[in-house]
Amino acid sequence: MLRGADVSFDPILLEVISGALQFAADEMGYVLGRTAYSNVVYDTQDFNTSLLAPDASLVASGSFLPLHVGVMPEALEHSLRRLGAENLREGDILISNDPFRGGTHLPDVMLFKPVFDGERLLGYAANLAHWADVGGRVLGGMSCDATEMFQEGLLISPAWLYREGRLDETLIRMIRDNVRLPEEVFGDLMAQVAACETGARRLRDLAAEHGADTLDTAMAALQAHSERRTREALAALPRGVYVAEDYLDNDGLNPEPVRIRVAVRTGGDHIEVDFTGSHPQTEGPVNCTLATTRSCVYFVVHTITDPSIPDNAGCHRPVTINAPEGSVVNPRFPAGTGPRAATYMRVTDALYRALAQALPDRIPAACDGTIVGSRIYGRTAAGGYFWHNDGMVGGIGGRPGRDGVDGVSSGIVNYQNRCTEELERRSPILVEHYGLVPDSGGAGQYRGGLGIQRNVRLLADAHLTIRNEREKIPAWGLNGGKSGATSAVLVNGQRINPKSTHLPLRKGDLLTMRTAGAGGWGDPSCREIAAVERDVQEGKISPDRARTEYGYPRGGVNP
Amino acid sequence: MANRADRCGVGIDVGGTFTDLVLRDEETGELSLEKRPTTPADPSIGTLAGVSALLCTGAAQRDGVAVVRHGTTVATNALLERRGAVVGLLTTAGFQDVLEIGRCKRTDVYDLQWQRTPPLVPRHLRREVDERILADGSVLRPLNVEDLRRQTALLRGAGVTALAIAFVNSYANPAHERAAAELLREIWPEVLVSQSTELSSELGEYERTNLAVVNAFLQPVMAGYLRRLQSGLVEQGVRAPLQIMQSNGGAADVEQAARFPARALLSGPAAGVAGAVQEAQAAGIENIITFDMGGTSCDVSLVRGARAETSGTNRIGQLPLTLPMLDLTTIGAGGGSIASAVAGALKVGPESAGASPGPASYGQGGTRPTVTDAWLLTGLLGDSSRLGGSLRLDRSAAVAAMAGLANALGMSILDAARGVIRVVQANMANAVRAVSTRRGFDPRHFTLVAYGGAGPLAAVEVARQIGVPRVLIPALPGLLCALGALGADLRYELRRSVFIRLDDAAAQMALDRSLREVELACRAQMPTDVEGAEVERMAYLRYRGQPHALGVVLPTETPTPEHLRALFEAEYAREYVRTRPDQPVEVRSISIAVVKAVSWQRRPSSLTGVAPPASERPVDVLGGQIRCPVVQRQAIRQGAVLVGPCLIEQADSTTWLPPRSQARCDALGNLLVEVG
Repeated sequence: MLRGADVSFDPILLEVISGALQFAADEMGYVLGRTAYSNVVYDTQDFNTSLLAPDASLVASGSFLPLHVGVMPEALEHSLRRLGAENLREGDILISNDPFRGGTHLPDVMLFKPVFDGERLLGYAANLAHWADVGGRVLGGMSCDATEMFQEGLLISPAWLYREGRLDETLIRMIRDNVRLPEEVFGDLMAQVAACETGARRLRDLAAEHGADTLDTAMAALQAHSERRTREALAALPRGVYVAEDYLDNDGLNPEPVRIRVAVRTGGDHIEVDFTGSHPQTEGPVNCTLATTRSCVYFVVHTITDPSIPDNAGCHRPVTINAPEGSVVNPRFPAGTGPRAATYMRVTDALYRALAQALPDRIPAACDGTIVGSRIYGRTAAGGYFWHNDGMVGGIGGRPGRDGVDGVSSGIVNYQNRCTEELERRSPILVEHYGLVPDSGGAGQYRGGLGIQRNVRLLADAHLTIRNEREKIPAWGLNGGKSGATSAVLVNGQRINPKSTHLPLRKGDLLTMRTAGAGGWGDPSCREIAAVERDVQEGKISPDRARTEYGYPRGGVNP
Repeated sequence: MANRADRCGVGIDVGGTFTDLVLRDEETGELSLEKRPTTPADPSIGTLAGVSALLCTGAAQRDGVAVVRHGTTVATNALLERRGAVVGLLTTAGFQDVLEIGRCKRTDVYDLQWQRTPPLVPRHLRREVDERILADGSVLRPLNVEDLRRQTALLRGAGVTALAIAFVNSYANPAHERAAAELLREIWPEVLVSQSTELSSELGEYERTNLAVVNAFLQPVMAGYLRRLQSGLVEQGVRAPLQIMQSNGGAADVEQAARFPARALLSGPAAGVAGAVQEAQAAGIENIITFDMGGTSCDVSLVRGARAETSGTNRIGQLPLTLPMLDLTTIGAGGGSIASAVAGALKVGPESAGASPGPASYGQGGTRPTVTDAWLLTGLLGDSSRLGGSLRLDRSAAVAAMAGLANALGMSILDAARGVIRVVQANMANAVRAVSTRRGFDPRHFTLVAYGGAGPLAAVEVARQIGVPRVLIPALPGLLCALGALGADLRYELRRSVFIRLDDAAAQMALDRSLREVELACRAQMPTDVEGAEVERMAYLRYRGQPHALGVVLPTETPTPEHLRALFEAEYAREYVRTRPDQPVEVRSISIAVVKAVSWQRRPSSLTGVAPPASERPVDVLGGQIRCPVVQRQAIRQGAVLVGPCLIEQADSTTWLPPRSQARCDALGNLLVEVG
């Protein structure tokens, strides 16, 4: 099969098949999201889908969590290497959550279904969903003090889930016996299977309509189309080497910051990204696997080229990535990877910080850089578990010409928040406050987005596992803009370790979770007076802050 | 009842460019039509002018008009253009920012400049009130009346003109919202109050808050518009009741429409769906896919058993509207959709040339190639096809526009035009798949009902691509929205969250009680003179633990839990293939619709007049030019059979019968096309 930027193909048929593949990938997500059992999948929407070519290269990805897009091809390649592509049959579905074979962390479980037309392999239907539990030390599988993968839960190295249409009951029993929430996990797994079957049906329909040869060539042409457009956009970037660093507060076990260093080389129709100089892999479980790091780079490149380019392997070919083995962005087996969300966000932060030097008129200041992942859980009288999970986000950084956005998912994540009424129905908690954090956005000509705070009153004894970040090192501003406010986790008004594992809480305790604010862009003294006045009127900044950061009222007269 | 005084009905559809009006004498079936330019600044002006002209030319006496039914985009446009009230929001202490934060999701993850649409109520006009109800409906903190008065005074002082109330957990117990609304009417009688639970009793504080705010925002606009319209009608001697199309596909009386404008955000497209259902039912067809293609977009929806599917997950812009609304899938594919070459691929839409400048061939300054231009260049449209020949299409402008595209793609102008048609058809086929095959419906059991000015030109090929065997082209496809409004049922609908496990011993009792309560609440919102209304009941069920519930139509006799489970599993198997027999099932919400059917005698809706003679023109859409007969729709008599290739022209639309298809004209003047 032809691969490369020179595949020529009927431009009309290309668009027809491209639309159908995109439709199919989204349709898989529709099925997965609506039949899943755990709120991590259906409410937070921590999943994605994709279709891959017979050579395991990405052809179309679903419009769900972008983080997962770049991961699936690599994980499929590893799975094929392990199991042997020649051993695949009609009716097979492969499963893997192996962080060191293209995975991300144990809760992210991937399914791959090879799709056949007779003897001929048409491609793969794949998806990734974050499971509610994978066993291990704490519910949810993301303890902050694990020092190796084995403490984090159940490893499912690439294996057959279905073999020629038959479910491996032994494997299922083994999984169910090793997780705390077997119904949710099995429900989600079946939703993933249904999504695979949907994708397979669509691939077969397309082959029936256009012929398998044409479908094959169309996949290559679609990738070539994306590659061509990506290269054109990259060639327009100013030539140079742009270096930047950003830091995690710590790894959860050791006090020192964890550095992400990146050098971005542009010039010509490609881009090189080198993470040499990043912190060695950490003792604490904040390591970001190579597949995840790659996915971050692909995401950032897509945002600076042209978001309307169909996302597939063609977008990735002009990108060269060097992530030293044994570093926090390419850890060796069996490093802990559970609560590494802030690490992949810091990878994108560092990339944008470097690219801001090349594209000063396009890149925003740093976002909140955090997903405050929390699990509150305990035993019910009936012997099961109650559990509350939440992934809180902050804001988008100030941008050249435009304020950031308050209280919204940013960068590579697009989480949906948990609704208070649903949380209170399902768990013994009372949400006493859910709102924006005034004064948390970094000052600037264009202000950074505000963070969010949730106050939760415990109505039963429970345990808390939580990870927060940017508690010490704030989200940076750009071009004279100030940093955002740092984050915090408090119990009864007292700060606690924002990376806490299995912390006992008592009935009546008040847990406060606050995300960081985003950075500001440009000199605050250049901010339009009307914008400062509006912020003060709305209570998004205090009069004090207006005076100290913006010199408001200017001329020293009180309004 | 068929005395002269209630013989006629007027249907009105206000579109972006034109306002269509129809007057139907229900005894003779005779139709009068009027088309007026829409007057966007105040649509009542164009509408009233149209009514006046219609009553002058039409056979009817003014006092012979029994009802005026109206589909309107006033609410939608006001929301999109942000023309509305200064709204103050009263919310539970601790939840001031729910409206602004929403669900934290971006609608575009790759756009670094993405912005949230600013909330309809700025932060300082969102005031917290001391009160709290728990998830089980019990009261944690009573409503603090003094605090409510204080916050209201603050909002009053800030120039607020409408109020929204949305308290946390009010879906489980609306007592605090009700008490607050009553108090507000007492202390500030002239202000309009929108209460979240009057619109929806479903779980989700953001979605309910948003509904209350959207409703409050639109109230003055909608109420003012309807007042002007109604008094204008009275001035013209028309005293018939005015009824407004609702997003759920039915109509509501004018008082309800003024009070709940949030329910009219799909009023325009809903009229079209209602029209499609009426036409199909009259033709004896129950399962249809509606296909409405106009200048900028294509709306598609699925109707089973003559009942349009509603969903609670629609959006206008970034705002979710969790109301029973027709489940429309809209894509940017219309006659004005612009085609472009992007790195060796031919893209069509979503950008549209709209009404101005319009397609290049309109000769109004458009220079980019559109779908309409492609239709003209392939011969599917003739030079004089636009608006029944009153405007000529400019072929040279279409050639010039298409030449740019052809050059960029390295192909002939004709090939480029054919390509544009093929791509837009594929896009539309995906939209139809989204409402049918994606949800497990077998397209072979459906009929595509094509309308809108452009629908009949594209429908047969789209149907063929998806495997829909039949297409119905109504007699007046371009006027179906106005006709649909005219024939729509009165329909009042409420949905409420309930949590009933079917394996619970008290399930049957709980279900009966909830159904009764919601029906009472629904009837309380109806005008008192609606006699003989019927009740439609639906339950939304899911496997316990799942997020999404599937709707099941309840039979007249409330089913037993076992029966209900069986009904649910049949739906589940259709939508997702595999059921989970080992899992408990729960009712997540119920909805009640009280429906007063319109009992007009059904007559053929067709125009009379002398048809121009049949002709022919060259068509080259498939590769290879053919001489294609062009038939005038007016000349087609009942029972006539037309064999593709054939073009059928009429003032409001053109129908394309590709080769292998065959159409028969039925007794009502519809064309029933066998796709072949």
